[in-house]
Amino acid sequence: MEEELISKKELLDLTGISYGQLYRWKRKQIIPEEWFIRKSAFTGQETFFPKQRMLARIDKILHMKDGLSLDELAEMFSPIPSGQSIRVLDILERNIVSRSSVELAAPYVGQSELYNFEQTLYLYILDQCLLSGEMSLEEGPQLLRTLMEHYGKYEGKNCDVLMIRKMGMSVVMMLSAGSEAFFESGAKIIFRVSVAKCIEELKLKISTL
Amino acid sequence: MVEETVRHLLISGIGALKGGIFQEAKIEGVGDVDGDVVCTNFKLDGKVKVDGSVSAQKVEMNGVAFITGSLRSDSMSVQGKLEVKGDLIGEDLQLNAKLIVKGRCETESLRANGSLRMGMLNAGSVHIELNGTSHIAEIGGGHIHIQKQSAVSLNKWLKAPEIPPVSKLTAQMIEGDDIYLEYTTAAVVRGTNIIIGPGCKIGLVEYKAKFDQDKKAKVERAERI
Repeated sequence: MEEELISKKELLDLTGISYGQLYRWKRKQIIPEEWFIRKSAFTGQETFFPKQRMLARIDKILHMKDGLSLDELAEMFSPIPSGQSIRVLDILERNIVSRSSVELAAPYVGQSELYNFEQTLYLYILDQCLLSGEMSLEEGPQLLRTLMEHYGKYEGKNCDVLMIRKMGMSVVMMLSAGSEAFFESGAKIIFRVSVAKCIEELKLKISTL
Repeated sequence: MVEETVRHLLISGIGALKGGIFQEAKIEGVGDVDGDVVCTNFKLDGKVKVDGSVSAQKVEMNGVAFITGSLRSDSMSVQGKLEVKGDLIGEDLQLNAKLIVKGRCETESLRANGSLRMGMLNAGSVHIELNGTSHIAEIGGGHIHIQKQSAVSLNKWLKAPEIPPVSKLTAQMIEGDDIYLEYTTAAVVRGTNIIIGPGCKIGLVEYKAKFDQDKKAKVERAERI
């Protein structure tokens, strides 16, 4: 998981934002704490950021800033699910989640006209994993059950969903974001999905409803 | 979900109480609070120790407060001494005090007169009048203004129980858009417009637009970036 890093100075240079903006965004938690990576340098400590993610985030902030207040932006980027409920009809019409995923999930999440944000999130993650072609339909319920049982325990903290497979046996697990995991040989990581990223994508899709 | 019962936490004299959710938390005298306190108004006259976190819309403290958790409030006014083991998160923070924060301190606006000790200060606007020794490892924000305490009248000075110690601030790094510093020792200062006033010792200044230096300030290196 080596990621290219960018120093604070280079970042400000590249994007043209000021220290004031950067610190304000940090205060508002639009930029997560974990992205501020401290490393020692000759001037003492320097701060670095994961380059791709940071540039993408700043781009989004700058482009959405006109339409949304900072607090609304903070809400959108926050790893805490919003309190909103979503109609299944809208989910399907907007193509947020495909019909086959909704049908697959219905017996587990529950059949309803209206899903709350968490339930929609589970559907969305399921759909994304299925679409990527890495997970089979039979493994879908495993993923759903893991999410439903354990996601709440993170209490809004960032976490990842991970699937490993060895000799055809698959295991779904959840990890806190950024943590490293190692497995015995022969086990293969099929995917690792950041829940926070899914929340962000989902909020963006819902916000246009 | 909202319970309509209004509870108050009141200590007059000496007392110890459990935390909880209150409308008003008022401590006059010496109090010990065990557990987190969530309230609309938190008012202290005297001394309090909270074994837990405090979250209040408005905090007014006169005296000595020690909080083992974090302190969160939209509006804070503190006179005396405040020590927070966790984070101090606010919107508007006014201090006439000695402040110690072990975690991070984040606020939109900070106006302080006194001595501050903390690791990381992140504020939209910082205005500090130094009174005693302050140490803040990192300061980041928009507008940062640090100066020596404005003149004290002779009358008041004569009445002071002791001669105030040398007022100064030491920091590792200060970053902001507009920075004005006095009597500050720092390794690195970075920003758009930087003015280094008297009594400063700065290792490296990196500025974007404007840089000014007082005759009585020492700056080892200044670079325009």
